[in-house]
Amino acid sequence: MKRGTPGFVGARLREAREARGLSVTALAEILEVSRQSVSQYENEQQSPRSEVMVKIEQVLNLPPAFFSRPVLKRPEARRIFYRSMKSATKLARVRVERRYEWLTEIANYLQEYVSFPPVRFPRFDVPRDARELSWEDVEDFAVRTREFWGLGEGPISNVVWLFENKGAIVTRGIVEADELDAFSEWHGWQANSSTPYVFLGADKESAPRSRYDAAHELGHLVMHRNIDPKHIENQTTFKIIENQAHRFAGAFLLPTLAFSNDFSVANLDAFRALKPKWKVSVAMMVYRSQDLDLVGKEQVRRLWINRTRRGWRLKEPLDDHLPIERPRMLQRAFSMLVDERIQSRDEIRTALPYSAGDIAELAGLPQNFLDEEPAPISLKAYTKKRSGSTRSTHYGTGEIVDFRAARDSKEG
Amino acid sequence: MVEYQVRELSEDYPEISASAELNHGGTSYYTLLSSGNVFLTANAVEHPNMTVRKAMYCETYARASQPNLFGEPPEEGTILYGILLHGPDELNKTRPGFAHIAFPNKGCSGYVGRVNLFARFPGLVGELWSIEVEEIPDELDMGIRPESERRKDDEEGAEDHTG
Repeated sequence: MKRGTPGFVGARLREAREARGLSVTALAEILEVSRQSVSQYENEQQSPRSEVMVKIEQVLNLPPAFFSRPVLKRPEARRIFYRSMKSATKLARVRVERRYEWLTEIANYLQEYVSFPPVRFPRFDVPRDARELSWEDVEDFAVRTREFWGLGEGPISNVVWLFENKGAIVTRGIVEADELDAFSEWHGWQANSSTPYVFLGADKESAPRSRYDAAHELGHLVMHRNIDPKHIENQTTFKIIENQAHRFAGAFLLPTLAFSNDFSVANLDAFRALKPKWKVSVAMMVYRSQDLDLVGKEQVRRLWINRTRRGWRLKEPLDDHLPIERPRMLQRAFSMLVDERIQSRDEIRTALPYSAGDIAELAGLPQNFLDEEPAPISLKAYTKKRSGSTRSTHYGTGEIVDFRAARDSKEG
Repeated sequence: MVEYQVRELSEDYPEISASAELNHGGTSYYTLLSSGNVFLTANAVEHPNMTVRKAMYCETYARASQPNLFGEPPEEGTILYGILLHGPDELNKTRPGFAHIAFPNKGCSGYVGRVNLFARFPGLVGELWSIEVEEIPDELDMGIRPESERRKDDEEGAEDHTG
């Protein structure tokens, strides 16, 4: 490699470009260099001159350390379950996949200091070929997942908290593609020690939608962990896999008997009345009623027509009123590091070579958490217990108190 | 148990008649409730969406039943036939899980309408069974690792490109 920037890792430039959703041509134009130059940087045939390097850091909003960091090996065949494999969503998929990889690096860093909840996800005997699963199997997996976690048939108060309590790493982020919504993966090199990751799209700020997305991803994690990765690429089998996850989500969030008992008439207002209780969309209840044969085809057709007439396709009633379920595990881990003086903010910024904004978004932190003079974070319901050399800390619901803002307003 | 209680209904409600009818094969009895031209039989099923076990009497009543529940008033002499579908709660078999009156199609192979009795009489259901919210506690089993346990995660297999 021709010398320009010592220690430059071309693969990191590609990663950063993809994470920002830029093509080689687009980046070259912004940097005012040729397309070939960018390709050569990425392939490490040459490294950027210092003035170009400064521009790269500015444009991609990443610190210099990022571009000299070794890259993580990626498994050759991954089972990342995207909602859409259409070519139109490819750029968005690559973009979120790179950001997801950053998330795994952040989580790895945190786990060096903080023990996360052990993974307690059911491991059923599931096939490599989704076509071997019947609808009854899918319904059964949903029932058994609830049983595995000791849940009855009632509405689940917080799906994201449930996942995190059981050891999943959940994040919410912008996916910038209508059809992507969410994705998930069992991440790790060894099947028996891998961690479930769930990336929920934050583009549609709707709690029912997000709960549905989470339950859908749970379906993949539970039923499709052994799926032949080639089946995800294949249009026919991909559709089957997706439909199974849809059905699982319905069965998991709206268990057969409990929901059937709540069902009274095939009427949008009746479903709307059930929405605050079950915290799922009216559309999902229509689908579930259809799956359970509680409504006939003609009734379903009328329900969809009425739903469109009422303008509920774009936004349903109560979507703004039900609170979004937000992950809190990574945020708590960062708070523990800082509060317990295990790592300073400076040390965190050095260890994690991303922009503060990226870390904040991926870990669900306040935007100013890693600032030089950060606003203090007060964690209410904070209790600690120490036993032996292991410190176990249980954090209750956190509340961000921006003292600077409070002080400024007083002074103002 | 349910069949027995259904038969006892006529004691409290004289306008309803309850009778034990022999099935076509003469092998067992079923309970028929009737009031005017409304006929009702009871069947235990696993889920409210399940069709009942094939039985000649069911098909006979269903064939004679008015097919369009929401259309014109029934002609004189036609009956309205419904099936009380009931079953235990999956998690607690000692309590009822559901009770629907479903109106079968002519072949008794599906339903053209239904009344969810638990939804229609929520006060009564509250006494029998309330669906409780599964409250997920804000409890994360997390802790600071002791220094001896801290490690650089190498399981991801960092690939050194810095040469």
